[in-house]
Amino acid sequence: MAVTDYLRQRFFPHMWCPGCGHGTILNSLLRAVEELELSKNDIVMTSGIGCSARISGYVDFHSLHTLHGRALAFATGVKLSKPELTLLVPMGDGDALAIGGNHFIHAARRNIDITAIVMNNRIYGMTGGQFSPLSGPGVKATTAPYTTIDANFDVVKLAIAAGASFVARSTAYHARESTEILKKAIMHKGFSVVEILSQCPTHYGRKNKEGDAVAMLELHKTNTAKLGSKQLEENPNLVARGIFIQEERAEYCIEYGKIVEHAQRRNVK
Amino acid sequence: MNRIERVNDFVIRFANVNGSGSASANNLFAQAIFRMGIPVSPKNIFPSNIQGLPTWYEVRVNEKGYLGRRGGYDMVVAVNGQTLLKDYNEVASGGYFFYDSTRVLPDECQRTDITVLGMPLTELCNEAFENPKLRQLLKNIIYVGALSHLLDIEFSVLTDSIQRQFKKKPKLAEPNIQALEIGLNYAREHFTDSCRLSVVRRDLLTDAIIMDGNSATGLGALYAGATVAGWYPITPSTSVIEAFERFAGRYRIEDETGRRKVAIIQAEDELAALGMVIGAAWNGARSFTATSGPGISLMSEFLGLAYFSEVPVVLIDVQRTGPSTGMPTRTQQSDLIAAAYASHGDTRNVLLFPCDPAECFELTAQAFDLAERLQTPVLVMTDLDLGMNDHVSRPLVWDDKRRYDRGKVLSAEQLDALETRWGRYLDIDGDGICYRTIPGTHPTQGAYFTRGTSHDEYAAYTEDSGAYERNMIRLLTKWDTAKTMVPEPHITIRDPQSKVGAIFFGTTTHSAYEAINRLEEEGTAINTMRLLSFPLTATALDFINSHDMIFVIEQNRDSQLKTLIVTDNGILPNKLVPLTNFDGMPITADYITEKLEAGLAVSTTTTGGSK
Repeated sequence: MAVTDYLRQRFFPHMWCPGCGHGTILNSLLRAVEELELSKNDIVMTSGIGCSARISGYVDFHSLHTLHGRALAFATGVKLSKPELTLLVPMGDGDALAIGGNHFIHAARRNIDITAIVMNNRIYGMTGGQFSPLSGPGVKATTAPYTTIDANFDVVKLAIAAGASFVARSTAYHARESTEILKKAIMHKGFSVVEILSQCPTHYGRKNKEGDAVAMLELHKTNTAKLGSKQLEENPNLVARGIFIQEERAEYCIEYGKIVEHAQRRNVK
Repeated sequence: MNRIERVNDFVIRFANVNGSGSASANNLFAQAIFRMGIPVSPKNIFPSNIQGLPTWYEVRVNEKGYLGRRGGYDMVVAVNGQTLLKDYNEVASGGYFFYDSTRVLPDECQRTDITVLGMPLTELCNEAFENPKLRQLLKNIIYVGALSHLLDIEFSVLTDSIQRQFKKKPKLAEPNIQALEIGLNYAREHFTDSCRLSVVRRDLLTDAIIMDGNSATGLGALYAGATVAGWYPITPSTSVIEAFERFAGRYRIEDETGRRKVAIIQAEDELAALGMVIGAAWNGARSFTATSGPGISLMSEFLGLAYFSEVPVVLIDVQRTGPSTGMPTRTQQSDLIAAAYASHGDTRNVLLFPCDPAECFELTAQAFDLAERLQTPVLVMTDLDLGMNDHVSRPLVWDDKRRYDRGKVLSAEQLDALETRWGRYLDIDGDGICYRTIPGTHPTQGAYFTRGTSHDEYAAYTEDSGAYERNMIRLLTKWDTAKTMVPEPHITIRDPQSKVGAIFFGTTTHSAYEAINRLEEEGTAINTMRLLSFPLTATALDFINSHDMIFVIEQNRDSQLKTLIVTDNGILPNKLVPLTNFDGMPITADYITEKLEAGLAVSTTTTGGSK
């Protein structure tokens, strides 16, 4: 199937600003789905509220546009009711880790087979440019006119600590790399978290003097380095890209099936 | 063709692309009419999007001062190709369609009952300006220049506005004024006697102001002495806190240190936001939050805690179209029931209903006094239309002699002087309001345990049915006390003999008065009551009891105000006739007129004449 077959073009034009990184991430994701030759009918995408969450409107999968921060709760219900489905949950940084932080860590703890994609542009775009729990200190936002004092979460470390068994990071600039990582994340049996750095020239870029979309993309390139690369070794201030953890671990739906079997055996006796 | 011919009385609609700089041009247009002293009401109809989708801006000009939506468009300025055809079809018969003729009109545009005014905006703009970013912005300014000719807007008022806007960057004023002139000159040359809509200076607005409700609300909280705000971003309430922050930077600076005495915390979600507010309020600070419908749902649990443990909090609900995520950028008055009875168990919350910026300011300030006097949550119910659009309003007034009412708070001296044992939830005065202390008031006395679990008069945990019931009944006594403290309704008796009335509140007010005045001119008198609060005062109940048929006009599907009135006061539901609009757009005077006429016709046929 061609990539365009996975798109609901009838809902175009999409609502993202010119230069937004989210469209590129949608592209990477669709290519991953296409290359894995997944059937549209086997994919469910749930999303919350915010710019990133609108992605579920543009893909021709079974899709649910739910509540701010709570897409993982819906996804968990969908997955448990039919574990053979592939669950994709794209989330914004505020959506996933502010209002949805609790759901995020608990989905990771269960290691349920869902792929969470954190589209991190470090800002609340839809409501006009407030800082998010991924902005980090020293960032300008409408709610931080003199720069933020809030520390940020490290999504990778948080997800690993909470129990996710596949955790990776890439950027909108590294579109091919994102596709490859997303393919592995989707095929992984367990809770997968892929953080993809995205750019918001409208709010974040303008306030923080990072320039236009092209300049911001350039930053994705210059501020990051591959895990295990010499570059990263020489400059540990760079943000690492790649797969941080990929482990075979007890997956929630499988364990659930086992406990059902166990209970049934006891009943037979 | 009959062309619409009117002075200082028309509706014009601009069709633009979101994020293309149209907002400032359209605002310039509305401000100019305001500065010519003519009542004007701009309404921004925008998508849930930052850039690229269609957006409209409606401006009603009405020298009689009717500033609710009227219905219909006498002129449309179409600069968005995506919606061109729809915009064309929506022009009222006899009206005017102004468009960017750089691209030809589609073949479907064949109406003969409207005047079509084409102007090559893009072409003119590109000829005059090099910078592509500026081009996009100035294209909008060019049509404002053209409108100044078509509608007879004083050109100097526009140029003055531009100069004022760019006072600090005079270099930016130049191209804007040039753009205005391009529009004016083209229109002068090509459109002679093309448009019979016009504005004429009236100077009717000598002391009026024009501002958005959210700014007035933020300022009200500041004047009320709020020092802590906990909140979470949500359309359309975000600008309440932004305004509070802005005004705090100007007016809440400690003289000696230059420090800003305010704490504004962006929480991780709405639950946390209200939790922070309750924490600060418990500690004696005046604190508040601002949110919209989805936030009310999330805050319900904490509202119940504040109600039951009797901590004063102020919550601003800028209502939008629900349920669930609904239409985040459209307006509604649909959170009434959720707000009044927020939280599980038996709870009742005080609601206030402002209808314009002056009332946003006053009622927000009053909400803090009421919350502390009644030791309970008070919710100020505005909406997207009031909060985010500019409204002409009487000026905001504050009496510097006014002192905050902190309610029944015991000082250390008062605690020392007590002859009997103090009980946090002991009703000494019989009004259901007990005496509270602020933590740390006294080194040894006045401490109590604040809890959401059942408690007796001395704040001790109890599972005793009698103690639980006494507490719940006292809270009802307090509710009755609230009825004597909330703001009185505005009642207008047009005919003392008439048994027909109408009740409305908030942004429904303006269109409702217009519709009812129209009916009065035709000989039908409807007495009106504009509610400013829930619960209802005795005066409000008298109004209801002295009328036989009362229209309840509101902007939700389920007649929520009617439900509140019936449920809280045991009024017979049949005498209250719902008149609702819930399409997400501000209710229009035309719609109310039509529904009132239909409702009255039915009553006449069924009862054989009213009275």
